[in-house]
Order: sequence, then structure tokens, then C-alpha cells
Amino acid sequence: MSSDNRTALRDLRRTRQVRRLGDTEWFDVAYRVYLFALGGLTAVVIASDAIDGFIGEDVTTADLLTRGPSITGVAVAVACFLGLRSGANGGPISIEVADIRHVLLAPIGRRLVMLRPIGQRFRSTMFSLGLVAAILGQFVAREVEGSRAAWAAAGALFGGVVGAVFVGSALIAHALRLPRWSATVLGAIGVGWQAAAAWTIWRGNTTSPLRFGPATLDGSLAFWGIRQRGIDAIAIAAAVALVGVGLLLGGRLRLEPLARRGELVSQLRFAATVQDLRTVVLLRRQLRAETMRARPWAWRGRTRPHGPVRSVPHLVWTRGVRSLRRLPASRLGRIGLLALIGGVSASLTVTSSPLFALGVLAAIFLLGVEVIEPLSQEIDHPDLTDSLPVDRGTLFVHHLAAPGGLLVVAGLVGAAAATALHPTHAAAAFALAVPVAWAGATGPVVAAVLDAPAPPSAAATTLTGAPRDQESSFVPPEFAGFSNAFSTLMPVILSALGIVPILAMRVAPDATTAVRSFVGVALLLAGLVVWIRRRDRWAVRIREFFAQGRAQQVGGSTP
Amino acid sequence: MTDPATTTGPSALAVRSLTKRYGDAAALAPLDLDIAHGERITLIGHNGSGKTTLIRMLAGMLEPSAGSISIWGHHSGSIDARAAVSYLSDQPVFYDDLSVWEHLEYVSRLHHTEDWEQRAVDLLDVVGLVDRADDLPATFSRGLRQKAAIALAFVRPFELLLVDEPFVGLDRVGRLALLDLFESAHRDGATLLVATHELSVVHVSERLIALSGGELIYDGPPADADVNALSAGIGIDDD
Repeated sequence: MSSDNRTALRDLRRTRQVRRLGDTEWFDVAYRVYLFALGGLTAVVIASDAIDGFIGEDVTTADLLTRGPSITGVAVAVACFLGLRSGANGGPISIEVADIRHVLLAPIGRRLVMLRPIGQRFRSTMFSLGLVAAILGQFVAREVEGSRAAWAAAGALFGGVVGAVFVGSALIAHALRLPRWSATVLGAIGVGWQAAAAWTIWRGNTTSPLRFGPATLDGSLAFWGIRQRGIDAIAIAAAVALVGVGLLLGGRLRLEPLARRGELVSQLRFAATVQDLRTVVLLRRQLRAETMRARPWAWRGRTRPHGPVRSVPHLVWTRGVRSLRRLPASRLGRIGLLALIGGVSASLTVTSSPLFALGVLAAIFLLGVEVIEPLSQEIDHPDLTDSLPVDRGTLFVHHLAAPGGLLVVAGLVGAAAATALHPTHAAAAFALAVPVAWAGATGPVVAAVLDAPAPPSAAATTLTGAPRDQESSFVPPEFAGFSNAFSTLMPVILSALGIVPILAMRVAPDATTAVRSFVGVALLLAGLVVWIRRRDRWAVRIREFFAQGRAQQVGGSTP
Repeated sequence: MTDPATTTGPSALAVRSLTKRYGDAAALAPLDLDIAHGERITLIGHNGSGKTTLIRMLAGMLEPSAGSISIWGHHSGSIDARAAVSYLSDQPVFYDDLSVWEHLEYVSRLHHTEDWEQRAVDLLDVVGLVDRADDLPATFSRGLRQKAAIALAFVRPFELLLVDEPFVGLDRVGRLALLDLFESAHRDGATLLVATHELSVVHVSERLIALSGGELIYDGPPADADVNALSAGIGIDDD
């Protein structure tokens, strides 16, 4: 690469950086940083108070040092698995399409061009995971020996290594053009091996050769707050080597996936900016190259075109089942994994720290997002919906039947996982798993239904009667931010109602609690169904009420 | 652009068993093609015939599922190939934060273009964007974006110009300007491969290639071809 090219590239980037900095609203940035820091600190303080029981009282420091590295090593193995999958799907780098068209198609060495985005990817991933692990480290410090600072530093180091493993393995998989299936197999072998090591050591078998996994040394770094071993430096060296290899492989990244990712990521950023959950989910699936199966599972040929006339509910349910039968294996696997995580986290919430309830919340919310495909498809195609001679609310409600069925299966998987961890939880787990899964799905359902366009009679004007395109907002600006935050958080808050039964069982683990929880969830679901069925009619009535008020005002003021 | 007399030896473009598959679907069947230096070729075919796939693979934007592409003896996507090929896409792409003039500057400099300012001014004049040179192309209409993309494709030196649906969104002035630029580039010795549905421009090319369903159904002089039938995907053998 000639110095002319280097200079041109440097000038291009500098010009753009200066322009970006010039366009930045610094007060706005400072305010966001302040909010983020305040929220983060509050969350950390609350979590610190709730940490009690995170590590069992019977676990000694020696136990922790013997068992811990294999268990934390699983996180590294999972990072490697996810990295390999990401690389096989064209990740982990995303650059602007304009850069691909104008810079990567120019006669310039691509390795030099890619150094910066690859370096940024390493930096951001290692920093964010290091930050999370450092926070977790200082939580751990509350329950075991060692200073908070030492645990936090060890956590930061461990998180940084996890980030380096993720990005490095992704870059290697991308540059070597690893097929998706082989990335999955390789990653699964690593995770399986490390999980076997963790299980072996957890069971107290300290002599089996299986007690060492491929990431045990990496896992040991998390415990450098109280024990530093020279041999663990091998893990650090390996992570540094991964970063180096990743930077060197920049010239071998492929344009086709880079261009595809570039387009999708720019759409994804926009969707995230406008807090469009459904679009974010869709684009993330496209990033993973997930498409619906051309042939559904258990396909027995095309259905007869002239079958007997069926009722609307039956048709909609059948359509929903067909949709779910087209889910790709990776998505079904994810549903199964989320169910397992939810079940294990629920069991740990009852027996260990209440913080594990956050794991349940994440699992049941994401489960809901994954299973409501039929409803989402209907909402994504409003023209098709409005052309049907069926009330839209009724149609949406019937679309919940098939996902509800799939959530029953997921709930049972979660209950089985909870039972495997604590067999004494079996009765409660199987009684509450399905209601919890259903309650968890209410958030994603509400988010999806809110994305549906307003009914035609209410779509053109705002509540004040002004044309919608001429009045930006009905609420004053002081409340607009709060209103936005509320509408963004509301789905999560609704899903959080799903963890109430688990927290209740933590306090009073008896049949009465289970029955009360069941009734509570039933009321929540009934409310959801009523809201979906009637929201259009309510919107029209509210509009009419305001219109009448305006008419009376005009009539009253006329002499 | 280079002097035709200075470039001898291998073909401008040599394609061997080039294939592109998306899962089970074949976007381009195994294709063999040789294009000599200085040829002016029009590529036609119905929607989904494989024109854009072929052009994007030649430009290095898409990876072949099988086969090879050689541009003046260089592997497609190599630095030498990138220096030789200019690609004018049907979907212009610009940085959101750079003006038309800044785009022209950086593309020119990345391609070591001498005296790029004068060339840029001339091109902006030809496509009618002189007054918009300091505006952001990301805010332009479809037609103006296409004109800005044309200026970018021609401001740098090239030996092979790959063009995909260049007339979409262009007004009459823009179309005439583009045809003049094609003519000028051809006179200067460049090789042109233009994929289009615009059958009225076929007669100005020396060679016509037609694709249907990812397969080559015609390769020869435009005068001998039933252009309308070929465009609809009906090959000579189908008659």
C-alpha cells in the first residue's frame, strides 16, 4: 500500500471524525452518560444488597478455588462457540456499506483498512465484558475472602479474555470460511468438554482426567483476586495471540458477508434508536442468516386445496401451527436453551440469591419473543390483515393459541431442568412452569400488538383532532421522554410479573402460594386478551369522546 | 483510462465455470465467458436471470460458489483487479457525512488519480451536479444519487467498467450524459459491460450477451438477435 493511499485513507477518516464530533450535542451526551452512570450505580447498589446467598454458605474458599475455574471456564467455552458461529455467519465485524463500495473496492491493502474496525471490535467487546465481569467480581467479594478491588480487577481480566476469545474465534472462523455446521460442531465440542469438566469437579471427583477442560485455565483468571498461578498466564498469552491473529486476518475477511452485515447493522441501529423491538429481533435473525424452513417439520405433502370449510379460530390456529413447524432448528434449539436457563435460574432463585430471578426474566421474555412468530407475521402485514373479513383484535387473540402450545412444551422443559437441579422442587416446578412461561410472553405480545397500526378511523388524526402529520406530540416535551421510556419498559415490566410466582415460592413455598400465583397469572392473561380484542374499539371511542368535547366547546363559545 | 495499445496479453475478462448458488437455488449456472480488451457489451435478461449476480461477482462484491474470474490475468478482488475495474451499481451508496465533492476527492485519491479536480469538475458539469457539489448525496433524490454515482465511477481511472441498470431514475439529460460518457470511455480504450433492461441502447454495443434463469442463452452481435425475445428469456433454441 503506497503512502498516498495511507494518506488518503487517514484524511478520509479524519474528515469524517471531525464532522461527527462537530455534529455531536455534547450536553446531550453528558446527560446520557450521567443517566447511565446513575442507573448503573443504583442497579449495582441494589444488586449488592440482594446478593446474599449467591455463593452457598457451605462453600469454602478452597472449594471455590477447586471447583470455580472449571465452571467459569464454561463461559469462555460458550464465548468461543458463539464466536465460531458468528464468524461462520459472516461476523463479527460490521462496516459501512459505503466503506465496502469505495474503500475496500479500491486498490488498497485490505488488512490495513480493516485494522481499525477489528481493533474497535476487540476493544468494545473486551471492555464491556470486562466491566460486567468486574461488577460481578465485586459482588462475589461480599461473600468470600479477598478485597473488592482485587475481585473486580480479576473479573475485568477474565471478562477481557472472554471478549478476546469471542472476537478472535469469530475472526478465525470468518477468515477460514468455516461452514456453519462445522462451527457448530467445533464449538459444541468445546462447550461439552468444558461442561463435563465442570460437572466432574462439581461432583467432587478430583482425580478423573475429565476434571480439566480446554478453558479451565481461562476460568482460573476469574479467581486471581485471591490466587494467582503462573500457569494461568498461558490463558492470557492465548488471548493475546488471538487478538494478534485476529488483527492479521483482516485482509482475509470476505466482502459478501461484510456487505450483508453492513446493511443489516445500519438498519438494526436505526431500529434500536427508535426502540422497535420487533424489527431489532427480525434483523438479528437475518444477521444470523436464520430463515424459515422451506419444508416444515413432519411434512406430509401439500394440504388439499378444497378441504371442508373451517371456523376462523381453527384456520388461524392451523396457520399458527404451520408457522411454528417452519421454525429453523437453530431457533428451536434456542427455545430449548432458554427454557433450560429459565428452569435452572428459577430453581436457584428459590434456593440461592434472588438475583437469579433476572435470569428467569431474561429467559421468559426472550422465549416469548421467539415463539410469537404467527402473531408477528400478522402484525408485519397489516394490509393482508385488514383485507380479511375478521375483527383484527379477535384475529390477534387466536394467533396466541399456537405459541401458547409451544410455551407449554418449553415450560415443561424448564420444569424438568429445575427438577434435575433440585428434585424436591418437582411439584412446584411442574405446577408453575407453564403459567410463568405464559406470563413472560405477555411483554413481547404487548410490544408486538402496539406495533400494529391504529385503526383507520383513528389513524389520520391525533387526540386533539389535528392531522397526525402536522402535530408532533400530544404530550408536552417534559413528559415525552418519560412516556417513551415507559412504553419501552412496559413489555419488560409485564414479563417481570411472570417471576412473581417464583419469588413468592422463595418466601412461602407451599400449595397456597402456587394456587394464588396461578390465579394471578390467569387474571393477567385474561386482561391481555380483553385488551387485544377491544383496544381498537377503545381507541375509536376515546377519539369520539374527545371530538364531542371539542364540538361542545365550539358550540358553547358560539354566541 | 489506459491506452489500448499498452494492454496486451490476457483477455480483459476471462470467466471459467462461474457458478453462484443460494442454498438449493442456482442464481448463475456454470458460465464461461471471454471478453477482449476494448469491447463494448450489453448484458440483458429478465428479472432474476442472473445479470446483477454476474456483475457483482465480476466486481468482487459477491463470492462465486464455484469457478474463477480473471481480470487482465489478475484474480477478481485482487488489488490489481480492483485498480482496473470501476463498478457502477444500480443501488448507489454514499457516506452520510461527506459531500459529493469530498466523495470525488477521496475516491480519486484512493485510486491515485492525477489532476482529479479538473476531471471532477468536468464530470459534475456533464451530469449537472455542479451546483450540488457541496451537498450531501445521502439527501439526494434517486436520480441525483445516480448522477453522483456516475461521477464517482468515472472520476477514477479504469480499464473495465461494470455497470448495472444505469438508467434507473435518470432524466433524459442524465441518460444522454451517461451515454456520452460510455462513448468517451470506449473511445479511450476501456472495456464496457452494461447490464440493462433498456433495449434501446443495445444497438450501440458491439456484442450482446443474454442470460435466462442463470444460463447464457445468447452471445453474439446485437444485429443478429431478437432482442425483445432474449430480454424475455426466450433463447434462439426456444423458437
